[in-house]
Amino acid sequence: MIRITHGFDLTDPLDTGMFEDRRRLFIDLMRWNLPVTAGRYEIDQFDGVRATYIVTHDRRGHCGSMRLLPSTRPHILGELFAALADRPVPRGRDTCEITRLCLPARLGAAGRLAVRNRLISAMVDHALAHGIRTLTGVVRPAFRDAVLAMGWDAAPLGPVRTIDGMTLGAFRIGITADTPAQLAGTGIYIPSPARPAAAAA
Amino acid sequence: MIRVPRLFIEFYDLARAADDCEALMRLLVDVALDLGFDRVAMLHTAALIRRHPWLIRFDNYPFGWDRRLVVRGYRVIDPVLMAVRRRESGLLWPDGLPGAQFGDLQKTILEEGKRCGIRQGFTVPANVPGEPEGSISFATRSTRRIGWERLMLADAIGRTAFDQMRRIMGLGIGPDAAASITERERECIYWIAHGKSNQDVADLLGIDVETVRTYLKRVFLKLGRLNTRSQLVYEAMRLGLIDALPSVSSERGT
Repeated sequence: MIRITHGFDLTDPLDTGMFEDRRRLFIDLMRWNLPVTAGRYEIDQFDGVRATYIVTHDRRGHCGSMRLLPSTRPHILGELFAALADRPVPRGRDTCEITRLCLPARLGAAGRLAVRNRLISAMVDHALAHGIRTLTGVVRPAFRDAVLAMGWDAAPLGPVRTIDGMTLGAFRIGITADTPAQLAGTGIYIPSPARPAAAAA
Repeated sequence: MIRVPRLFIEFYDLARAADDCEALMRLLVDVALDLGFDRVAMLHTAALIRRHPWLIRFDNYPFGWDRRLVVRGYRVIDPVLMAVRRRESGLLWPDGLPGAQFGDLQKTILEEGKRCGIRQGFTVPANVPGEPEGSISFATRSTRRIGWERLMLADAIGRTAFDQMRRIMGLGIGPDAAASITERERECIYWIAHGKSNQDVADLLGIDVETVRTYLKRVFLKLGRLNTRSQLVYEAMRLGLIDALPSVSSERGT
């Protein structure tokens, strides 16, 4: 099942599950230098009421998630990594940044891929329904290569650079009515009624 | 110990020694008869649409069969060829055909085949990257069940025959244009095939845009007779330099 919310609530087990999985992945496993809240949660300065959370879950809870940040407010590319963009950082009411794509390691490679595709499909549907035409993001080079070869209108914003010991690249994706068909052509997009609910855990 | 049937060994030796197309085809017709198939066709599918010295097309099917029935304009409509282009192993037909997907036209073709004495058969795909799609079909008027041993032999013999026909016709012996392309040049082509600009490619590979232009100039020279990026991508697909795989990543993301 997919749930889309604005802001979070730490009495909601789905939200706490998401922040715990984010800590396990980004801090425990990938060793990113991020703050830990309450000893358990990875919550940063961009989490809050202006962030949109796309979460996929089953009966047991959080299976994967991503966060969309408005580009008109402080966001990761605009605030922290503007040096990655040789061109102006895309900003505007129709532009959001994709951040914190969290695919828990416990799902295994095939499970993570399935969750990734479900989240991308839900993100595209959400973007189309809310007039979001441009998505940006900052990722590792290999993941950017994958994103740019998914079949949609996507381009790098500049070369890969090493900032604070992390090698990163920025990208831009254009979302149009054709995007679902383009992603379906590479086996990534699944229309929402056909999207399986439970994730492989 | 596994024994390779004599029928295959004899055909293999004779086919490798054959030095003209007709001689090879006679060998194939004879061995097909030994296997219980009275009809055999070895062809590049495109040869059904147009004749060309580089396209293989030999068969002893009933005269005019192909003209009337397997092609409409530039589209191959034969149900067997349609099904076999989507697989790697031989297909026993009509039993193995995905009948549910066929329209009236395909059903008519199968019915007409029966009337011409082509009641059942076995078709082996023969596809070499950079060369047109091909196949070898063995067919019979008999309706008796064709056993596994005959199918296996037909499979091996069909592939051997196709390769020997390619040898005789001089296919696949020219210099391999793909081998001259370096990994960096291939990466440039890959990203162009994904619709990226030279500046995008430069960013992705971490090199200067002038270097991308230099790589591409070199690629155009190496592959020859190409004028546009679309032609370049087509040629790269044809040569197997890039494939049609959707991107799949094992990375966890941001």
